[in-house]
Amino acid sequence: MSTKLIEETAQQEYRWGFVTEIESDAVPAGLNEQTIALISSKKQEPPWLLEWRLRAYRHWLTLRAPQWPNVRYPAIDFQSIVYYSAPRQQPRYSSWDEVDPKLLETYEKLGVPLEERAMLAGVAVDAVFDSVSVTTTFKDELAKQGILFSSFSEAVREHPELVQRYLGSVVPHTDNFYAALNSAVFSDGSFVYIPPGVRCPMELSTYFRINAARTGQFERTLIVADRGSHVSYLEGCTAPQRDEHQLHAAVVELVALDDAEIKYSTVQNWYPGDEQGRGGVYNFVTKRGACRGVRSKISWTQVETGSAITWKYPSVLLLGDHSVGEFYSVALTKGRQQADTGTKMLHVGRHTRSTIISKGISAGEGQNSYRGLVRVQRGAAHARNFSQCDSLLLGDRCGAHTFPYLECKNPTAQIEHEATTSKIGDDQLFYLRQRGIDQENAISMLVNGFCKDVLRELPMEFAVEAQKLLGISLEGSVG
Amino acid sequence: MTELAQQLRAERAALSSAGDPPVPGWWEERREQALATLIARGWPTSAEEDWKYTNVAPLLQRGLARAPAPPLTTPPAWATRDGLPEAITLVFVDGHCLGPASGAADLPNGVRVCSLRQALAEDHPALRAQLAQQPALAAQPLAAWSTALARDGAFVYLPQGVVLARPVQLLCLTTRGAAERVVQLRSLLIAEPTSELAVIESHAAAPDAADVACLVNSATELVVGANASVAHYLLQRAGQAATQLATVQATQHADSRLTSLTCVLGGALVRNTIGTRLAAPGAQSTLDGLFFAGGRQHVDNHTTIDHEQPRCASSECYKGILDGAATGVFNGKVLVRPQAQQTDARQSNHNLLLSATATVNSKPQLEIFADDVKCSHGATIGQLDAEALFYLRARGIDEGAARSLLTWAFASEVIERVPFAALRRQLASTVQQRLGLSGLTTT
Repeated sequence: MSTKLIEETAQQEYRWGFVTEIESDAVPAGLNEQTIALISSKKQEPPWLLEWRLRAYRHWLTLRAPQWPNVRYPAIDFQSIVYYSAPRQQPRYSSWDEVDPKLLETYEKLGVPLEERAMLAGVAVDAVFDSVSVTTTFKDELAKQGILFSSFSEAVREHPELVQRYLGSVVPHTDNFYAALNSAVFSDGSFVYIPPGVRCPMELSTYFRINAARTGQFERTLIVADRGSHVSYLEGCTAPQRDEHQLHAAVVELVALDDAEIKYSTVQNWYPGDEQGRGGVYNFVTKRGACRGVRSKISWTQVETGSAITWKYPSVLLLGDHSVGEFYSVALTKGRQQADTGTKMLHVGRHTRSTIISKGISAGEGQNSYRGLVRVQRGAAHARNFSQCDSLLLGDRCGAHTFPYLECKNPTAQIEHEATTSKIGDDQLFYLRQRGIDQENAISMLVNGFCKDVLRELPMEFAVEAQKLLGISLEGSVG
Repeated sequence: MTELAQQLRAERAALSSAGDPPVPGWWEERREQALATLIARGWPTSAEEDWKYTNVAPLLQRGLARAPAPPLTTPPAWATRDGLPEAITLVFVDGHCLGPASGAADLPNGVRVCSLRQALAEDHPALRAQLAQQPALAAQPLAAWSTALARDGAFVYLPQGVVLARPVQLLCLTTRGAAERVVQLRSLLIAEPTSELAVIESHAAAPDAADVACLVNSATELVVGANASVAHYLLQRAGQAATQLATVQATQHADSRLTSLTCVLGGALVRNTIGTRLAAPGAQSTLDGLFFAGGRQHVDNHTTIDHEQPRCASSECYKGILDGAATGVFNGKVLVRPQAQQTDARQSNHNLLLSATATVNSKPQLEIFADDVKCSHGATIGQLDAEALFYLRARGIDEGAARSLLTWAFASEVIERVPFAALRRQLASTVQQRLGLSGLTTT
C-alpha cells in the first residue's frame, strides 16, 4: 500500500455514497402476516415457502433483540422498515443491452463493469440490486457442468426440491432474532449447487447493495457443495450514503457433503456513518456452514471495513469426521464504528480441525470485539483447534476487546488460543524510519503486515480491493 | 415481598436477636444496603454472563439455614494441625471466631489481627473508612449476601511502614453442625502504605466432617496502600459434598504489589470470584491459581483485573486439572480503562483433561480502551504430551506413573510459588496423593 493510496483513501469521504434513482416497487413499511403474504405472492412463491416464512415470523414475535453483543445503538423500530423493494421494471433480460442503463451505471460507479470483469477475470456475477436478481452471467457455462448458480427466487421456482431440502437446515428459523426475521421476510439472494465431483471452474461472485431508503436488506444465500465438489464464492458489498440507519440482516447457509470444499470470501464496505456516528448500516448477519460429510472443508474469509455496527459470526459445524473449518478475519473500525465479530467452531466429528485467525484494527473511536466459541463435543476425539486473535490500536480513544469461549469435553482434543493487543511499536516504526521510510509508509507497511495472514487467504481480485479498503485514515492516528 | 426478600429479611431479623454484641450504626446501615442490593437483583442465574457455566441459583433458593454457633470456645487440636506453626492464627469454626489470635503476643504497635466482630465492638477507625466500601465488591451478589448476613470474619490491620515477618493464617473450618446449613464469613485486610502482609486463608472440613454438605460463603476485602505489599493465599480443601463460594476483592494504591494465589483441591461446587482494582499508577498484581477436580466436582474461577490507572502491570496464570466427570471453569477478565496507558497485562490459562467425562470451559477475556498497552492472553486445553510420556516409558516407568509424574509437573508450577515451605509440602503431598504418587521430595 503506497502513501498515495493511503492519502487517497484517508481523504475520501464515502466514495460509494450515491443513490440510483430507479422506481422501486416497495410494500408499505411495517411487518405483519399480510406483509409476508404480500412478499411471498409478489415473488410467486409456492405455498410451502409462505408457510415456512409465517412459521419463522410467529417465532420471531416471541423473541427479543439480543442485548449481549458489545455494541451500542438505539433500538430498532421494526415497524418502520420497508421489508420488500424491487426495481419496478422487472423484465427477463436476454442480453446486457436490455438492462436498464441506470443499473449498469451503478455498477460502473461501484467499479464492477460486469461483462468486462466477467470476461477478463472469469468471474460470474449474480448481481443483486436491492432485492431482486437482475441478471446472471456465465450461467450457461456453469450449467454445462451441472452447476446451479441463480437468484434465490429462481431456485425456488426451478429447483424447489433442493431449496426445500436445504433451506433452514443449517440456520433454522429458530436460531436467533435476526435469523428468524430474515426467514420471515427474506427478499432474495443467491443459490449455488455444485454437483458431485465438480470443481467450479470460476470464482462465483455477487455484489450486494442496499439502495432504496428505509429498505432493510434481507438476503438469503444457500450454497450446497455435493460430494467431492469445490467452490469459491465471493461476496462484496458497498452501499450508498444515507442519513438514517439501514438494517441488513442476511442469512448465509453453506452445506458441504463428503470431500466437498467451500470457500466463502467477503469484503464488506457498507456506509459506516459520518464522523458523529450518524447514519450507517447495521449489519446483523447470521452465517453458518455445515461440514456434513467426511473430509469436507468450509473456509470463511472476511474483510470488514464498513457498517456502523457489525454483528456477525461466520461459523462452522464440523459434523463429518476429518472435516475442517477455517475463519480468517480482518475487522477495521474507525470513526464511531462498532464491530462485534468472530466465529463459532463446533467440533462434533472425530479428527475435526479448525483454525481461527482474527485481526482487529481500531482507530478513532472505533470499538472492535472478537467473540468466538470453540466447542469440542464429547465424541469429537482428536479434535484440534488453533485460534489467534490480535488487535491493533491506533489512537487513544478506540477499544479492542476479546471474548473467546473455549469449551472442551474430550480429553484427546487440543485447543490453543492466544490473543495480543498492542499499538504499532515505537521500535518497529523507528526501525523502518531509520531505513529511510517515511512515517506514513512505515505505518501502512506495519498495518499490512499485521493483516497479511488473512489477506493472503483472499482470492486475487478481492485481495486488491481489500488492501484498498484497509487504506484508512491512518494520518494522525499514531505518532 | 418476594420469597427471596422474605427469606433474607427473616435471617437478618434473626441475626439482630442472636445475642451478638452490638455493632456500630454505620455498619447496620451498610448491611441493610447490601441486603437491599441483593434483594433487588436476586440470586445470580446461569442466564447471566458471569454465571453462565455455574448455576448456583437452585442451591441458594433452597433457603439453607444459618449454621449454629459451635459448641467450642477454644480451637481444638485438629484445627491447627494442618496450619503453619509460625503463623499468627485465627481459627473460625462454622463461621465463628474461636478465641483471640494465637502467636500474636509480640505484634508491633498498632497491628491488629482479630475477629471482625471484636473490631466492630471496638469500632476500629479503619473499619468505618474501609469496610464494605469497594463498589466492585458490592456489585457481587454473593459478597453482598455475606456483608448482609455474616456474623464474623477476620480483621487484619497493618499501620504504615510495618513489615509483618510472619504470615497471618485464617483457618476456616466446618463441622458436622454445619450440615445442610450456610456458613458466612466477612473479612477485611488492610495494609497501610509501605507495609507488608501475607495472609493464608485456608478452608477445610473438620476431620469427622469431610462428607458434610454445607455451604460456605466468604467475602474478603483487601486494601493495599501505596507501596505496600500484600500476598493472599486462598487454599480450599473443603469436604467432598461442600459448596465453597468465595469473593476476594482488592483495591491497590500507587506502586503497591498484590500476590493472589488460589489453590482448589476440594469441595463439590466451588466458585471463586477474585478481583483487583489497580486504582493508582504503578501498581502490580500477580494472580495465580491451581484447580484439581475429580469425581463430580465443579470448580469455577472468575478473575477480574481492572487496570484503572497508567503504568500498572498484571500477570495471571491459572492451571486446571480435570479428572472423572469434573467440570472446570476459568473466566479471566482484564479490563484496561482509557487512562490506563503503559499497561502491561499478561494472562494464561492451561487446562489438562485427564478423562473422557471431564469438561473444561475457559474464557480469557480482554477489554481494552487504551492504545499504549501490551496485553496478551493464552489459553490451552489438552492432554499430556505424547512425547514426554514416551520418554518416561522408554526409561522403564509404567504408563500410570508416567502420567502421574507429568500431571504433577504441570501442577507443581503453581504450588512452587507458595513461599512457605510447610504449606508447600502439604499442598504438594495432597496433590501427589491424589495422583497416587509417593516418595517424591518437595522442596
